[in-house]
Amino acid sequence: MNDLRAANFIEIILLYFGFRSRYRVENNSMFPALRSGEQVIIKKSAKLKVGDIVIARHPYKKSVEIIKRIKEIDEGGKYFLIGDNKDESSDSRTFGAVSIEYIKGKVISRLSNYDIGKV
Amino acid sequence: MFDKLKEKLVNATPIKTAEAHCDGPCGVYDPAQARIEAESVYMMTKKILDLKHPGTEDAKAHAAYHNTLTRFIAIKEERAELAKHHVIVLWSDYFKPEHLEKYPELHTLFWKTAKLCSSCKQEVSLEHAQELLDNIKEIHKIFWETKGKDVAWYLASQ
Repeated sequence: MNDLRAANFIEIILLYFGFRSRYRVENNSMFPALRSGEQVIIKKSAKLKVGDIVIARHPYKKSVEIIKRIKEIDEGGKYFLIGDNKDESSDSRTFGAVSIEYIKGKVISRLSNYDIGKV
Repeated sequence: MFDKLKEKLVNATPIKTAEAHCDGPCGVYDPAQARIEAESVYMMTKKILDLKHPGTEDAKAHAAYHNTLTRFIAIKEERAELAKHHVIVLWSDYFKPEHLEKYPELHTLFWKTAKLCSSCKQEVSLEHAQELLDNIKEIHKIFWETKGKDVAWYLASQ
C-alpha cells in the first residue's frame, strides 16, 4: 500500500488555480493512512490502480462523498473500494463495486499542518 | 515566509468533506425506525380512503376537505420516503456478505421493500401498505436473528 506523501509547492499552486481539489477526511475508516480531520489534495483525471486512495460518490447517498482505497478493479472496469480500517468502514463490501463515473479523483498527497496554518 | 505563502494559497481554496465512513461508527441500527414510518403510511392510506367528500357546494366545507386530504397525502408521501431511507440504510450499511450467505433472499426482500415504499407514495393502496409492513416484519426477524436476539414484533398503532 502506498503511503501518502506531503503536498509539494507545485500541487499547492495547481490547487490554488483550481486544477486540484482539497478535501477534509471525516471519521477513521482510512486510519492509519489518514486520520479524521486530515486534509488531502485530489487530482481528477488521474490514472487509477489497485492500492490508490480515491474520493468517490456514495452509490446510494447522492450528497455523500467517501474516501476509500481501491482493492480490486474487475474485468468490467468496476472499482471495489474498501476502507483501511475495516471495522469502521461502510464500503464496497456492502454497496458493491462502483463504475468510474462514481470516482471523483485520486488522492495524490496530504496537506500538513504547516500548509493549512494549524501549527 | 514560504510556509505563510503556502498557507494563504491553501486557505484560499474551497474545501469539501470526504466521509471515511458513511454514518459514523456508532453501529446503532434498528428496523423499528422503518416499522414506525410504515405504520404511519398504513394509517394515512386508511384515513385517505375513509375521508368523506363533503358533497355540498359549501366553500368552507370544500376547503376543509381539501386541506385535510392534502395533509394526509403529504404525510403519507413523507413517511413512505422515510421508510425507504431507513430500509436502504439497513440494507447498505448494516447487512454484510456473510448475512447474504445465510439469507440468500435478503437482496430481493430489501429491493421489493424499497419498491413498496415507492408504490405506497404513488398509490392509495392498503394492500401495498400492509405488504410493506409484512416485509419490514420479515426484515425485523432476520435482523434480530443476525444479532442473536429474540425481539418480538409489535405495532405501535395497535
